[in-house]
Amino acid sequence: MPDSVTQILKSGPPGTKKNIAVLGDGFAAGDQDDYNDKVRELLTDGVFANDYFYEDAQAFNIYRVNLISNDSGVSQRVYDEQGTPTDRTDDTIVSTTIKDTALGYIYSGSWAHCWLESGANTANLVNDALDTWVPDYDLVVVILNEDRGGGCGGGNSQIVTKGSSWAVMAHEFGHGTGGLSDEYCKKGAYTGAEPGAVNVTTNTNRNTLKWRKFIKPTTPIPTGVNPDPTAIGSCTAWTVGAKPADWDSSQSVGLFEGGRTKASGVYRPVINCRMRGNAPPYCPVCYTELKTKMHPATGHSFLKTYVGDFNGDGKDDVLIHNGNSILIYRSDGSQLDIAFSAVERVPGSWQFKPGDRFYVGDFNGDGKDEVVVYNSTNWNQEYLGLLADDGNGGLKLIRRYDDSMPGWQFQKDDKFYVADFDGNGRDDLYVFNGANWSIPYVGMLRSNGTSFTLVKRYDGTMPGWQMRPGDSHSVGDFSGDGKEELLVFNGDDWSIPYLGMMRSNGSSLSMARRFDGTLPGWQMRPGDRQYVGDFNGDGKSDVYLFNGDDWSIAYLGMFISMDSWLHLAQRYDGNVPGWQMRKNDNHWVGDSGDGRSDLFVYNHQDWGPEYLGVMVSNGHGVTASWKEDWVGEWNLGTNDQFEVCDFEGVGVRRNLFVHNQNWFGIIRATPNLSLLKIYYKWIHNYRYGRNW
Amino acid sequence: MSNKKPKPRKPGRKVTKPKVTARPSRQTTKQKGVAAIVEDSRKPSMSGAAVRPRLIKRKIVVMPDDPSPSKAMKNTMDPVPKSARRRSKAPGRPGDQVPSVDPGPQEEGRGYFRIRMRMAEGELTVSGAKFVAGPLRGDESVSPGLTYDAKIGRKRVAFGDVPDPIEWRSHPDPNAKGETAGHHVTELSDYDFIVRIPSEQVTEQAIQDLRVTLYRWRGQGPGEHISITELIRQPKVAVEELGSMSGLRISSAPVAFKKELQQAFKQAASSAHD
Repeated sequence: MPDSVTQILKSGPPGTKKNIAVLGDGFAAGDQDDYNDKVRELLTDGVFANDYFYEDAQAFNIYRVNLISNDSGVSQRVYDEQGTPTDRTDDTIVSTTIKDTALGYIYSGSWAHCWLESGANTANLVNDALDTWVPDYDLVVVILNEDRGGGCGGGNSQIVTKGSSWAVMAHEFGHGTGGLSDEYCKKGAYTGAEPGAVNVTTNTNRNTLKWRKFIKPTTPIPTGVNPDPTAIGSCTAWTVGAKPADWDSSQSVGLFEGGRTKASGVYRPVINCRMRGNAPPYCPVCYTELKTKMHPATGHSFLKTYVGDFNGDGKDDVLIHNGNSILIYRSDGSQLDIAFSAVERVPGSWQFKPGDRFYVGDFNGDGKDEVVVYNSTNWNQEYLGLLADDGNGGLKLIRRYDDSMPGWQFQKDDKFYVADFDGNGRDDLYVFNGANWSIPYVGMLRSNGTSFTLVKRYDGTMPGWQMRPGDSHSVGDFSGDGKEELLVFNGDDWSIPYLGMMRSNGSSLSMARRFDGTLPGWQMRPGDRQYVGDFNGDGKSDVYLFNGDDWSIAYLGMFISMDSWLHLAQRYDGNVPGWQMRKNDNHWVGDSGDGRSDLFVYNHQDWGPEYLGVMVSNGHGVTASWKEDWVGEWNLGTNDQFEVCDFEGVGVRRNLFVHNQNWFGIIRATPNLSLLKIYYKWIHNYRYGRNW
Repeated sequence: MSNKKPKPRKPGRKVTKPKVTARPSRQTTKQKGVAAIVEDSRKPSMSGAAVRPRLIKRKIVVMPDDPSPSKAMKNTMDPVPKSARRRSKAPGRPGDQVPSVDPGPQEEGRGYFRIRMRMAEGELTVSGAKFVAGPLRGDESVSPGLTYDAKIGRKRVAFGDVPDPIEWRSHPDPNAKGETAGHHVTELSDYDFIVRIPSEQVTEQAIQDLRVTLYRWRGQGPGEHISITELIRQPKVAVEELGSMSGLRISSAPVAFKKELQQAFKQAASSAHD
């Protein structure tokens, strides 16, 4: 069996990521499965399955190098420690048993000797292996085929045994990637200058303390003081007054004496961080430093976000797509927390790419949203995948279609619309392609929960409708029968605009009504924009129509669906009560809480400041309120994008996720537009303070 | 598609166009009776009249009431097979998606040199070099601890953090409660770190002028990183120069390193021509 390399975490080109090389020593050909299992346990299922490294896995590549040793197990050395295991200076070698291994490490099991040591040629063998198998590396992990515990780290390397735990490795990665200091304590006083590491300090002044932004004003500073440095050699916990009942030992920040391996004269931020106790998660100070350092390498932004209730608790969560990764943050009604992180692929398998398009719906009717992902740009053919709950709060691929499915050949410009067209409680898909064939096509793809079947395809024409490339579609249940149908509009390809209300019987479409050029009280124009929502709360989808382009003033029409007719309930010429309409108004359908669909409206182009408004429907008209320039702490901007959702889980879509490159906010519509949450660069809920 | 001419229709009612006033800078709808904003006074207002058809290639083109099936023959999807409507059998586990034959636009940057620096007893030397294909994302800022700054002449070609090079630590003894429950720390007098320079920034000739400086500095709080230029401007009490290397004397370098460097430049040149 020859030596080999397998990249087990593929985040991107090595020059753009932090690269971890994993080597094994003392693993013979028959031990390679054992080695692979240990790599998985320590890294994939250990360090990179927990807190910081789980979230930011996209900043790292991991290369597992399988080196075949001639002997199984590593060389051994026995020391006579003379009864002083912490002092190596008096140790003598009792015996050394050399084995023929790939890297020549020698295990001693002596703490003072770093548990192990290099053989005469180890440095060269390690360098040769790295140069041969790994394009670039920042951190090197060597695993020894030795069951006993121990390990030695530093200089961006860690050598560990099979007896090592991932938590210790995560602690060591805190040194190697974050430049973080140890926070544990041994007897002795620190007498040096202010340390460079961000997580230890000699400063006890609240106003200049380097992690002051994470300290609640009511927290005493210092928070924990070593009462007798000459006698006590351990880290100090809370000693000043009564500790608050909700104090979290790893996430509540104060100033605790002891750190950097000393019990006094130096302070750490929390009682027990991973940099002290290995097992707890990183404290806010260490977490923030790691996040800040690695954020550019992750390539994360908030630009591509999708709303879905992925755990079926009634509260909308968010899926964020970045290049070859997705992150899902779960709503508890008041904040978002990380629920799932996947880099490069999910089991099944679906490999994520920048061109992936996501469509969220409950395709199996289980009350939890699934994800249809489509990619027509990054591979040599088109792919459509169905991702569903993996049973652990994440997603896995349960069905993939490569290039085609029976009756439908995928093409670059296929457009998908999520709709339950057969009314069985499972979302289905409409698909339209007006660009890549000689004629346009519409397909109805029915979901059975685990796959899709084409139940009807329209080639060039639908009943009463001649399809054209410029057709645009919206989805709604205009008849109120539980089956969602298509509203199709074409303003460009004919001499007059057309609007068609289709009717679904579950397996095909019929034309309920076609409007040629005009609607009651409305002259259609190419720039008409349709927004579907049940604005009178009668269980049937209605239509808001806006046109800001084709007339001297902007118009908004409210059309009530009457099965196969659209009745004009209201037309606003120029102004809605409370809102001066402008040509660049953008709208989203939401619901402020009374069961009637409202319109969110945003304009960042036509005024001095930006305006975000909500037009609340009373069933036959709307009244608007708005916020100018700021919604709470959110400074409205030109690059803001909005997603309507029910983040709070109140049963109506009264929330907006607002996002741009670096910022993510959550807005509530009623009683006034207000900001519930704001996050910068990453989503994390600090117990006090924030990362900017 | 039929191109039947519609009956001539009366033009829409001519309306008095609202006058465009000064562009308002703010929403004023909190006041009552505010006039609508006229976006373009050359455009008409909506009326109740029928829509006037526009000509497309000098013809009026309208949608037929009952469109006939398409007769297109070329570039059309295959007919829907009968089996499409039956429940299709779930396939086996799919393999990897197939990468595009055309790799598309090349990612920015053709490669970089990975230069291994060695700090030994206060002296900084180059101990190895390698060419790595692909783009390089340079650091944007530096964080407290050790930082290197690499220049060729006056031009900065690379900088970055050097986390954790100075200590070797034994892992804690999981069964101990005393001193061995922590690290046994050994300070290193010699250590390596990596400098990465985009290949387009350096030539075989220019690398002889490579100057690398290693700093140790104390910064602010977590996440409060600064630019390299800010770091260099810090007072000397805040930034300590640990060592520097002025120029790379290839002629006097060990043969193995010379070969390694030549190989790296050869690969870089080959990559540039690809």
